[in-house]
Amino acid sequence: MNQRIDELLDKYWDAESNLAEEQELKKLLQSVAGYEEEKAMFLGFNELSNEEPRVKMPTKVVPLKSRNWMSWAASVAILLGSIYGWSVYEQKQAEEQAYLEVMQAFALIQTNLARGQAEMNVMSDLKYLNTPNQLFGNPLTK
Amino acid sequence: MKSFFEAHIWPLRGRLYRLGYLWVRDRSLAEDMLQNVFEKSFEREEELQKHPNLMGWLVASLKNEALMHFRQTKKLDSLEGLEELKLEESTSEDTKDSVRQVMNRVKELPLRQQEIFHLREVEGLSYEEIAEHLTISLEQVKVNLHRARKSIRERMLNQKSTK
Repeated sequence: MNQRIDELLDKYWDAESNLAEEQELKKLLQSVAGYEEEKAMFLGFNELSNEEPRVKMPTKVVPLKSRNWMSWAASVAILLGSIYGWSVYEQKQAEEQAYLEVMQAFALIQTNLARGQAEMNVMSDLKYLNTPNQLFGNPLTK
Repeated sequence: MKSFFEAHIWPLRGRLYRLGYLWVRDRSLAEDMLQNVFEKSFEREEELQKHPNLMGWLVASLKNEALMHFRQTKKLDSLEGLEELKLEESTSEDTKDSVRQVMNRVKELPLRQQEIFHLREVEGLSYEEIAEHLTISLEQVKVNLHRARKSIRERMLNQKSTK
């Protein structure tokens, strides 16, 4: 076996070995004693080949098209919002208007009622209508 | 359905990262560089789908990131490229011992040889794939790998005899 290793090593150092032969050499070296230098060298290569980087996959930029779509959606939302706001405002205004009108109507009734009441004051004089009879007696009944 | 980026670029992250790590010897810096390359290639996804050598493009952009870093930290005056650059002498603290040994082993090789050696030994790529990654000819790959292995062997033998 060592003969084969020596043969492969010579080829290796002369850079005449192919990849398959280099694989065979590494395998054979693992199964025999000695060749410490070569073993350490190949082990180092192997360890280095296991080094992996910590890099992030680049992230996608949002394409322009979908951004356009977003701005359309936003403007529609603002439009709907303001229409709704406007209608709420309108309704409030109408309610206030109605309240005012009702109150005015009440005020009108109130003033007219007061006037009517004042005119009724004359009626209180009627209580004196019968007073002369009480004072002087009714000649007709006597 | 997976995007082109997810299917063809994202799976290469480990390999790109380790190559960047070889250049800058610093994990978090290598990760930052890779993240920048990914952001860029993500933006240019459509253009890259038609690129004849995607891997070559990615490696070149990563190298560009490393160059920008060294230019900012004033370690490099000319724009000639990393070829002239003496790579970071020290490796960052969080490097594993065995990995540090690998890096020290290749440290004195010319950068081109380091890259080819790394792609062959660590990533297990064929000559054709290495040529594609580094956008060089097949002949250059063979010659440089031969030289790299030769000098590494010599260093190992020297170490043995001095012990």
